Amino acid sequence: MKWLNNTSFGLVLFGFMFLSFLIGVGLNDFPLLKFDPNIKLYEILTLFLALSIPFFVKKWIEDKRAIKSSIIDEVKEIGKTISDIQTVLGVTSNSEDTSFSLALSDTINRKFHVCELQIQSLKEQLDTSFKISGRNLADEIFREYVAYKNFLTGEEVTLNENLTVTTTFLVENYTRSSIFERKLKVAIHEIHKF
Amino acid sequence: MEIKDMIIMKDEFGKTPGSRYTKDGGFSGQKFLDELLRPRFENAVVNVYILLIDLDNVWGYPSSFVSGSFGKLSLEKGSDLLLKHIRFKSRDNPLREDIIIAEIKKPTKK
Repeated sequence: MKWLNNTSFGLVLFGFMFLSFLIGVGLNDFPLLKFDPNIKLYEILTLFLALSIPFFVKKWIEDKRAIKSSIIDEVKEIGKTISDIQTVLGVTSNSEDTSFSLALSDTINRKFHVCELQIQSLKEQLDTSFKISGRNLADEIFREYVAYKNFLTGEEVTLNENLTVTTTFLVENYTRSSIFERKLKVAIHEIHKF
Repeated sequence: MEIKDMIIMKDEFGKTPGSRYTKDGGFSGQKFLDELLRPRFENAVVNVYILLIDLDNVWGYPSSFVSGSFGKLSLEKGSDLLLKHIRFKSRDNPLREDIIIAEIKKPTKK
Protein backbone atom coordinates (compact mmCIF):
# COMPACT_ATOMS: atom_id res chain seq x y z
CA MET A 1 0.00 0.00 0.00
CA LYS A 2 2.99 2.23 -0.56
CA TRP A 3 1.15 4.08 -3.32
CA LEU A 4 -1.26 5.48 -0.73
CA ASN A 5 1.54 7.58 0.67
CA ASN A 6 2.06 9.67 -2.44
CA THR A 7 0.05 12.18 -4.42
CA SER A 8 -2.21 9.47 -5.80
CA PHE A 9 -3.77 9.17 -2.34
CA GLY A 10 -5.13 12.73 -2.61
CA LEU A 11 -6.26 12.20 -6.19
CA VAL A 12 -8.04 8.96 -5.37
CA LEU A 13 -9.77 10.63 -2.43
CA PHE A 14 -10.97 13.52 -4.57
CA GLY A 15 -12.06 11.02 -7.21
CA PHE A 16 -14.17 9.16 -4.66
CA MET A 17 -15.71 12.39 -3.40
CA PHE A 18 -16.61 13.46 -6.93
CA LEU A 19 -18.00 10.02 -7.77
CA SER A 20 -20.06 10.00 -4.57
CA PHE A 21 -21.42 13.41 -5.49
CA LEU A 22 -22.45 12.20 -8.96
CA ILE A 23 -24.07 9.07 -7.58
CA GLY A 24 -25.95 11.17 -5.02
CA VAL A 25 -27.19 13.54 -7.69
CA GLY A 26 -27.98 10.69 -10.05
CA LEU A 27 -30.10 8.80 -7.53
CA ASN A 28 -31.70 12.02 -6.34
CA ASP A 29 -30.93 10.81 -2.86
CA PHE A 30 -29.41 13.88 -1.36
CA PRO A 31 -31.50 14.57 1.69
CA LEU A 32 -28.78 15.93 3.95
CA LEU A 33 -26.64 17.92 1.54
CA LYS A 34 -28.17 20.41 -0.80
CA PHE A 35 -26.28 22.58 -3.20
CA ASP A 36 -26.79 26.19 -2.20
CA PRO A 37 -27.17 28.29 -5.38
CA ASN A 38 -26.09 31.40 -3.41
CA ILE A 39 -22.69 29.94 -2.75
CA LYS A 40 -19.84 32.13 -4.08
CA LEU A 41 -17.00 30.99 -6.28
CA TYR A 42 -14.38 32.14 -3.76
CA GLU A 43 -16.07 29.99 -1.10
CA ILE A 44 -15.64 26.92 -3.30
CA LEU A 45 -12.02 27.90 -3.88
CA THR A 46 -11.48 28.32 -0.14
CA LEU A 47 -12.93 24.86 0.44
CA PHE A 48 -10.67 23.42 -2.26
CA LEU A 49 -7.62 25.08 -0.70
CA ALA A 50 -8.53 23.86 2.77
CA LEU A 51 -8.78 20.31 1.48
CA SER A 52 -5.73 20.44 -0.79
CA ILE A 53 -3.25 21.84 1.76
CA PRO A 54 -2.97 18.64 3.79
CA PHE A 55 -2.81 16.47 0.70
CA PHE A 56 -0.60 18.40 -1.69
CA VAL A 57 1.22 21.29 -0.03
CA LYS A 58 2.18 19.34 3.08
CA LYS A 59 3.43 16.50 0.96
CA TRP A 60 5.36 18.88 -1.28
CA ILE A 61 7.02 20.45 1.79
CA GLU A 62 7.88 17.03 3.22
CA ASP A 63 9.33 15.82 -0.08
CA LYS A 64 11.50 18.92 -0.36
CA ARG A 65 12.67 18.49 3.23
CA ALA A 66 13.63 14.87 2.51
CA ILE A 67 15.62 15.90 -0.58
CA LYS A 68 17.42 18.65 1.36
CA SER A 69 18.18 16.27 4.18
CA SER A 70 19.69 13.73 1.79
CA ILE A 71 21.82 16.38 0.06
CA ILE A 72 22.99 17.74 3.42
CA ASP A 73 24.09 14.21 4.35
CA GLU A 74 26.23 14.21 1.20
CA VAL A 75 27.83 17.50 2.25
CA LYS A 76 28.58 16.03 5.67
CA GLU A 77 30.21 12.99 4.03
CA ILE A 78 32.60 15.31 2.17
CA GLY A 79 33.46 16.89 5.52
CA LYS A 80 34.20 13.45 6.94
CA THR A 81 36.58 12.62 4.08
CA ILE A 82 38.46 15.85 4.73
CA SER A 83 38.60 14.92 8.42
CA ASP A 84 40.11 11.58 7.40
CA ILE A 85 42.98 13.49 5.78
CA GLN A 86 43.56 15.38 9.05
CA THR A 87 43.58 12.03 10.87
CA VAL A 88 46.15 10.53 8.48
CA LEU A 89 48.40 13.58 8.93
CA GLY A 90 47.89 13.50 12.70
CA VAL A 91 48.91 9.83 12.85
CA THR A 92 52.04 10.58 10.79
CA SER A 93 53.03 13.48 13.03
CA ASN A 94 52.84 11.17 16.06
CA SER A 95 54.78 8.32 14.44
CA GLU A 96 58.56 7.78 14.32
CA ASP A 97 58.80 8.64 10.62
CA THR A 98 57.18 12.06 10.22
CA SER A 99 58.41 12.61 6.66
CA PHE A 100 55.94 13.51 3.94
CA SER A 101 56.65 10.24 2.12
CA LEU A 102 55.36 8.98 -1.24
CA ALA A 103 53.19 6.49 0.64
CA LEU A 104 51.61 9.35 2.60
CA SER A 105 51.09 11.31 -0.63
CA ASP A 106 49.39 8.30 -2.22
CA THR A 107 47.09 7.89 0.78
CA ILE A 108 46.14 11.56 0.61
CA ASN A 109 45.56 11.33 -3.16
CA ARG A 110 43.17 8.44 -2.59
CA LYS A 111 41.24 10.50 -0.07
CA PHE A 112 41.04 13.40 -2.52
CA HIS A 113 39.81 11.00 -5.19
CA VAL A 114 37.01 9.87 -2.87
CA CYS A 115 36.27 13.51 -2.09
CA GLU A 116 36.01 14.33 -5.80
CA LEU A 117 33.55 11.50 -6.34
CA GLN A 118 31.46 12.81 -3.45
CA ILE A 119 31.57 16.37 -4.82
CA GLN A 120 30.56 15.10 -8.27
CA SER A 121 27.59 13.30 -6.73
CA LEU A 122 26.64 16.41 -4.76
CA LYS A 123 26.98 18.57 -7.88
CA GLU A 124 24.60 16.35 -9.84
CA GLN A 125 22.04 16.30 -7.03
CA LEU A 126 22.15 20.05 -6.50
CA ASP A 127 21.79 20.56 -10.23
CA THR A 128 18.81 18.20 -10.44
CA SER A 129 16.97 19.58 -7.43
CA PHE A 130 17.77 23.28 -7.39
CA LYS A 131 18.91 24.12 -10.94
CA ILE A 132 20.94 27.37 -11.26
CA SER A 133 21.23 28.19 -7.55
CA GLY A 134 22.23 24.58 -6.85
CA ARG A 135 24.77 24.62 -9.66
CA ASN A 136 26.28 27.87 -8.36
CA LEU A 137 26.59 26.45 -4.86
CA ALA A 138 28.27 23.29 -6.22
CA ASP A 139 30.74 25.47 -8.15
CA GLU A 140 31.58 27.46 -4.99
CA ILE A 141 32.20 24.23 -3.03
CA PHE A 142 34.37 22.90 -5.86
CA ARG A 143 36.45 26.11 -5.98
CA GLU A 144 37.24 25.89 -2.26
CA TYR A 145 38.00 22.19 -2.63
CA VAL A 146 40.51 22.86 -5.44
CA ALA A 147 42.17 25.57 -3.33
CA TYR A 148 42.70 23.12 -0.47
CA LYS A 149 43.80 20.28 -2.76
CA ASN A 150 46.26 22.64 -4.46
CA PHE A 151 47.79 23.38 -1.07
CA LEU A 152 48.19 19.79 0.09
CA THR A 153 49.14 18.18 -3.23
CA GLY A 154 50.70 21.22 -4.88
CA GLU A 155 54.08 22.84 -5.12
CA GLU A 156 54.14 24.30 -1.63
CA VAL A 157 54.19 20.84 -0.10
CA THR A 158 55.65 18.56 -2.77
CA LEU A 159 58.60 20.80 -3.69
CA ASN A 160 59.79 20.86 -0.11
CA GLU A 161 62.09 17.82 -0.12
CA ASN A 162 62.66 17.75 3.62
CA LEU A 163 59.08 18.35 4.62
CA THR A 164 58.01 16.62 7.78
CA VAL A 165 54.58 16.53 9.32
CA THR A 166 55.31 18.72 12.31
CA THR A 167 52.87 20.54 14.56
CA THR A 168 53.54 23.71 12.58
CA PHE A 169 52.60 21.91 9.36
CA LEU A 170 49.48 20.48 10.99
CA VAL A 171 48.41 23.97 12.07
CA GLU A 172 48.99 25.32 8.56
CA ASN A 173 47.09 22.42 7.03
CA TYR A 174 44.25 22.80 9.51
CA THR A 175 43.96 26.50 8.70
CA ARG A 176 43.71 25.72 4.96
CA SER A 177 41.30 22.82 5.38
CA SER A 178 39.06 24.78 7.73
CA ILE A 179 38.39 27.30 4.94
CA PHE A 180 36.97 24.46 2.87
CA GLU A 181 35.12 22.95 5.83
CA ARG A 182 33.64 26.36 6.62
CA LYS A 183 32.34 26.54 3.05
CA LEU A 184 30.70 23.14 3.55
CA LYS A 185 29.02 24.33 6.75
CA VAL A 186 27.75 27.50 5.09
CA ALA A 187 26.51 25.36 2.19
CA ILE A 188 24.33 23.37 4.60
CA HIS A 189 22.61 26.60 5.66
CA GLU A 190 22.19 27.65 2.04
CA ILE A 191 20.63 24.29 1.12
CA HIS A 192 18.12 24.74 3.98
CA LYS A 193 17.10 28.06 2.41
CA PHE A 194 16.47 26.62 -1.07
CA MET B 1 39.44 16.68 -36.42
CA GLU B 2 39.36 13.01 -35.58
CA ILE B 3 40.61 11.21 -32.49
CA LYS B 4 43.49 9.05 -33.77
CA ASP B 5 45.52 8.37 -30.65
CA MET B 6 44.77 7.61 -27.02
CA ILE B 7 46.82 7.53 -23.83
CA ILE B 8 45.30 5.22 -21.23
CA MET B 9 46.84 6.46 -18.00
CA LYS B 10 46.40 3.28 -15.96
CA ASP B 11 47.98 1.07 -18.65
CA GLU B 12 50.62 3.32 -20.16
CA PHE B 13 51.73 5.29 -17.15
CA GLY B 14 50.63 4.11 -13.73
CA LYS B 15 47.84 4.09 -11.19
CA THR B 16 49.51 6.46 -8.75
CA PRO B 17 50.57 9.72 -10.41
CA GLY B 18 52.66 11.61 -7.90
CA SER B 19 55.01 14.54 -7.66
CA ARG B 20 56.08 17.21 -10.13
CA TYR B 21 59.71 16.26 -10.81
CA THR B 22 61.29 12.90 -11.68
CA LYS B 23 63.91 13.38 -8.93
CA ASP B 24 61.10 13.27 -6.35
CA GLY B 25 60.42 9.68 -7.36
CA GLY B 26 57.28 7.84 -8.31
CA PHE B 27 55.17 8.53 -11.35
CA SER B 28 55.97 12.20 -11.71
CA GLY B 29 54.43 14.84 -13.92
CA GLN B 30 57.81 15.47 -15.55
CA LYS B 31 58.17 11.78 -16.44
CA PHE B 32 54.67 11.72 -17.93
CA LEU B 33 55.32 14.92 -19.87
CA ASP B 34 58.69 13.82 -21.27
CA GLU B 35 57.88 10.20 -22.03
CA LEU B 36 54.26 10.29 -23.11
CA LEU B 37 52.40 13.57 -23.24
CA ARG B 38 54.76 15.86 -25.18
CA PRO B 39 55.77 13.40 -27.94
CA ARG B 40 52.21 12.18 -28.50
CA PHE B 41 50.84 15.74 -28.41
CA GLU B 42 53.43 16.97 -30.93
CA ASN B 43 52.54 14.10 -33.21
CA ALA B 44 48.87 15.06 -32.94
CA VAL B 45 49.67 18.67 -33.90
CA VAL B 46 51.89 17.74 -36.88
CA ASN B 47 49.41 15.17 -38.24
CA VAL B 48 46.34 17.27 -37.34
CA TYR B 49 44.36 14.95 -35.12
CA ILE B 50 43.09 14.77 -31.54
CA LEU B 51 44.85 12.91 -28.75
CA LEU B 52 42.43 11.39 -26.24
CA ILE B 53 43.63 10.92 -22.67
CA ASP B 54 41.78 8.34 -20.59
CA LEU B 55 42.05 9.43 -16.96
CA ASP B 56 40.05 6.58 -15.43
CA ASN B 57 41.06 3.85 -12.99
CA VAL B 58 43.81 5.91 -11.41
CA TRP B 59 44.02 6.89 -7.74
CA GLY B 60 43.83 10.65 -8.11
CA TYR B 61 45.88 13.32 -9.83
CA PRO B 62 47.82 15.52 -7.37
CA SER B 63 48.00 19.22 -8.23
CA SER B 64 51.80 19.04 -8.56
CA PHE B 65 51.48 16.26 -11.16
CA VAL B 66 48.87 18.19 -13.13
CA SER B 67 50.89 21.43 -13.13
CA GLY B 68 54.14 19.55 -13.84
CA SER B 69 52.67 17.91 -16.95
CA PHE B 70 49.62 19.61 -18.44
CA GLY B 71 50.44 23.01 -16.92
CA LYS B 72 54.03 22.93 -18.15
CA LEU B 73 53.02 21.83 -21.66
CA SER B 74 50.45 24.63 -21.72
CA LEU B 75 53.18 27.16 -20.83
CA GLU B 76 55.37 25.76 -23.63
CA LYS B 77 52.78 25.44 -26.41
CA GLY B 78 49.87 27.64 -25.38
CA SER B 79 46.52 26.63 -23.92
CA ASP B 80 44.57 27.10 -27.17
CA LEU B 81 46.72 24.60 -29.05
CA LEU B 82 46.48 22.08 -26.21
CA LEU B 83 42.73 22.32 -25.94
CA LYS B 84 42.46 22.03 -29.72
CA HIS B 85 44.41 18.76 -29.86
CA ILE B 86 43.70 17.10 -26.53
CA ARG B 87 40.44 15.64 -25.22
CA PHE B 88 39.88 13.87 -21.91
CA LYS B 89 37.81 10.89 -20.91
CA SER B 90 36.91 10.49 -17.26
CA ARG B 91 33.79 8.49 -16.60
CA ASP B 92 34.85 7.64 -13.03
CA ASN B 93 35.44 11.17 -11.91
CA PRO B 94 34.40 13.98 -14.30
CA LEU B 95 35.81 16.62 -11.92
CA ARG B 96 39.34 15.55 -12.89
CA GLU B 97 38.74 16.83 -16.37
CA ASP B 98 37.59 20.22 -14.99
CA ILE B 99 40.71 20.47 -12.79
CA ILE B 100 43.10 19.62 -15.64
CA ILE B 101 41.40 21.96 -18.13
CA ALA B 102 41.53 24.75 -15.51
CA GLU B 103 45.29 24.14 -15.14
CA ILE B 104 45.77 24.20 -18.93
CA LYS B 105 43.87 27.48 -19.21
CA LYS B 106 45.68 29.04 -16.27
CA PRO B 107 48.96 27.15 -15.77
CA THR B 108 51.00 27.45 -12.59
CA LYS B 109 54.04 29.53 -13.53
CA LYS B 110 56.90 27.53 -11.99
